[in-house]
Amino acid sequence: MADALGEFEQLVLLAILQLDTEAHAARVREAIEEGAHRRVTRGALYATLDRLTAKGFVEWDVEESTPERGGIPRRRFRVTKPGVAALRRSYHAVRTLSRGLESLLREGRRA
Amino acid sequence: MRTPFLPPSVLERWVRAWIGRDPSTSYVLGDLREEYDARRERSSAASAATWYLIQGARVAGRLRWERRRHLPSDTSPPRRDGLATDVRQALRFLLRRPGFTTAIVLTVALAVASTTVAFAVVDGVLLEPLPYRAPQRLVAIWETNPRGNQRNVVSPANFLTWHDELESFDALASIIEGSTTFVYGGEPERVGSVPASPAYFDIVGAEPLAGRLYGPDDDAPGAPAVAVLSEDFWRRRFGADPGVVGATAQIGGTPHTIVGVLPDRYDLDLEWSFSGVGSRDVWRPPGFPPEARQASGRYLQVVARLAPGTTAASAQTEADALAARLAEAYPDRQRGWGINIVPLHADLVGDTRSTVLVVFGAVCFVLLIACANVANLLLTRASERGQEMAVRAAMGASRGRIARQLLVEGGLLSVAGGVLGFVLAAWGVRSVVGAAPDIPRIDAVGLDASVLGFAVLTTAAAALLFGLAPAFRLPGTSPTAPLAGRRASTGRETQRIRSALVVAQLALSLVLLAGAGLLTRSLVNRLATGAGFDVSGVVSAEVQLGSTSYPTTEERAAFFEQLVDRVRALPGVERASAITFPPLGGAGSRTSFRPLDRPPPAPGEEPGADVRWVHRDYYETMGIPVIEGRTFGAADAADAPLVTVINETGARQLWPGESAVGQRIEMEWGDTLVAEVVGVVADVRHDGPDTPPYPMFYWEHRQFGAFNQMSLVVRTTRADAGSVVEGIRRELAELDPGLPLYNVHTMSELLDDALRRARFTTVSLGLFALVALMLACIGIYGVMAQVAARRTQEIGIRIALGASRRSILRLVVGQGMVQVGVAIALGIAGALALSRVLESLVFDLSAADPTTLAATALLLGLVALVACWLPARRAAATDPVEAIRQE
Repeated sequence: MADALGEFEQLVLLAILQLDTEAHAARVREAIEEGAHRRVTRGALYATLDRLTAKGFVEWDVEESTPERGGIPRRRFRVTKPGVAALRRSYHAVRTLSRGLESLLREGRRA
Repeated sequence: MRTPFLPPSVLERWVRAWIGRDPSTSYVLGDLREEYDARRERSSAASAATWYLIQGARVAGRLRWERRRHLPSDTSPPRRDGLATDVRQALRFLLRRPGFTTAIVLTVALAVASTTVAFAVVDGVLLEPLPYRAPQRLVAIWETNPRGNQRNVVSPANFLTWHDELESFDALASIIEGSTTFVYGGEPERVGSVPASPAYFDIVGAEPLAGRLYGPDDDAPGAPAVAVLSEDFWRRRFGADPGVVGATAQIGGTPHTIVGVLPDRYDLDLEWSFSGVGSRDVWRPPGFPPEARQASGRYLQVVARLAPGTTAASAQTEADALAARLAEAYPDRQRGWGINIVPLHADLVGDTRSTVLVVFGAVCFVLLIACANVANLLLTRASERGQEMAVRAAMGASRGRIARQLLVEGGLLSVAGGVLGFVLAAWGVRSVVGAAPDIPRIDAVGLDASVLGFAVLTTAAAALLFGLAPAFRLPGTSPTAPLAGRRASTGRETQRIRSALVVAQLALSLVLLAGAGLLTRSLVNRLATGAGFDVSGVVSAEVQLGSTSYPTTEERAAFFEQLVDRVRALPGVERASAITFPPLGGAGSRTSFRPLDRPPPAPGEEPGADVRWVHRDYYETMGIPVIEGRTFGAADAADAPLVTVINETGARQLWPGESAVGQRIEMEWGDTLVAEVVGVVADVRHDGPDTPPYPMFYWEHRQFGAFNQMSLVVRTTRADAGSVVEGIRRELAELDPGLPLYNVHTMSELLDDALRRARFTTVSLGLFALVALMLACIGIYGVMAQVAARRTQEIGIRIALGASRRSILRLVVGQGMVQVGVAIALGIAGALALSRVLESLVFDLSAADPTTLAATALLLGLVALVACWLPARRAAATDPVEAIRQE
């Protein structure tokens, strides 16, 4: 069975997909903090990005450096096909298990 | 465009190093630069740098943790707190100290080896069941006689009655060991003969090796004579030829058909033997004639198998009732006699039990002492390692971790010692079995699973014993004290434990020394007692006449007279004579009699005495002093009035305060013999020094020759007494070529044999006691040396202040001798408490003999004094200036 995704991994993948060509580490972090209303430590993000890369769910390209970076290039992340598939599996699982609980879950959200 | 702020390069270098090698390190640093720049624009350099440092550390920590969690284990850095690390560290520590390690491993190996060997003996002799069918149901049945002998041989009449009437048994068998002449293919040979009931084979569950074993039909009156050969005899005499089954051999002058071969493992090691030759070669049905039911002579051994569901105790109850009925019915031969049922295993092992257990106990003491010694050595090491341990504690090692490391060191030492010990034990067991120290069932001793298990347990126990002491004695919770180089109170505590260990060692050694002392004095007493005559240079050899060739007393007497005359004329022979059962030969004859100077006792209450028939030169040959009257002379021939010679014990018991000479007695031996006592001779201990002399009547063999068998006793002038045996054989062959000479022994050999067990126990206990004393002295020496070293400064000050060397000596020795004093008190208490164990082994001595105890305590004290004095002398030679300058 393919690796199941952890919750934070799902958030990271979704954020990268949302950001598309803007998916740099700092932006991913901000996007999760805004979208999920939670604090994200840099260490956790880098560790997760490393892990997702190792699993083959994420790859990155190197972009030109900026002056602020003093010559160090920047990574732009992209979700791979297996990454999308894994995300889809998680999404389906959540949907299947949520069936019939919609009102409760909406209720919870409202509260 | 402004110039971007970059983080201080030193901080960046730190963060890079913290993150370590990671594919994203550079990019992470790049991202941090971006954020730093943004922050630096808003805030001070210090605040931005602080932020950078904190964030850098957090990212690095998280990434490192992530790496450790996810990288495959084989690429992860070695854990520094695992057992493997402990083992590696311990090995490194031990290998760097070869002397220390060797000393401990050897001590443990010796202790484990001796304990294992001793346990192998205990296991084989005492614990392992007999190798027969349903061994727990096998018993020996003895008669008990009115004089308190609990293991008296049984009369055929009683055996047959038991066989018919006792219902507690499935099967009863009688068995006797004797000897007979075996002729096959014209070659005569004296062989061991065993008349044994057919039921014997069923009782031990024997299966024949060839042919068949005889059954009840073969024991019926008029059945053809059959014999079964022992495996050993079959191999020796017939080369294991199965064709011998069905052949005919002359056994005791009558033709017997050989029907089968009995495997040797079904041969019971019988205690009683009548003129046996030491091996049991030919087994025959006993064929009791009808008149056996009335005979009163006792010579059988009886073994039986309890019926299922019966116990030895319930069988004993039934037997007691039968004994009471028999005493009523036959008061003349049964009054005062009882029946004693003993589990066969206990019966075979007999009084060896105490020997084996005493030696085993001694060995366990040595093991304890050795463990205490090793613990002491480790404690010394541990206190020397105080600093090392303190450093470990300061670096964050918990007490548990350090304790585990010490335990691992102890474990390694004991595993090495245990393995080496087991190898030594394998060799030791072989040597002990080879030396065969007269212990029944010694052939069952070997290295098996239970012995191996014992060795493993012993090793583990040893490891715990000596590994725990230093582990408990860890440097205290404050790691700074030893680091500062100050000797904390922990040193004093260690000292106390070491002193306690030394006291225990010394006390245990004293117990062993006292035991060894008692046994040594007993052996000396036994040697001094001897057999009652001068054994050196005396040879005995047995001759048995065929009853068909020499049918009358006169013919037999004439033959032995002639033989003694011829042997006396041989070169190297000083004197020669003959006796029916020679001393120390293991066999004898005993009967009841009555002195005629008093009213006849009630039936069954007649006094008993040993009886022997001798050639008249017997006392001169053996060197037995004549106390009163005369011994036999040429005039005491067949037609002269019957006379008898009594021993000292008999004379004293029967006629206390008056002369035995001139008294008359009556004795039943087939016929009623009335004789006058003409002389009293010194006692001879026929069964060895341990058995007190019993009244004994000697008869002249020409006057009443009851036996067709006699042993020549020959005093030689040669150092090599055995060299005259060939001459004796020649003379015998000239008189009658069909007669073999057998049971040839020198008396010194027989006396040695009789003392073999006592010597074995004494030597082993002595050896163990010496080892114990040595170990204990090494222990006290070590402690005193450490005490002296610890007090160097103090001693230096004392000397500087004018203390004399003598007073320093006294100070240090005194401290040691306090421990010795405590140990002696404890040791004496222990020796007294354990004296009961030795009771059956001491001879002519109390097991709590105060002289021996005092002497051993003195010995221990002296040796310990030397061990204390050596380090004290060194302390007294301390140079005060040097000492005070220390630290």
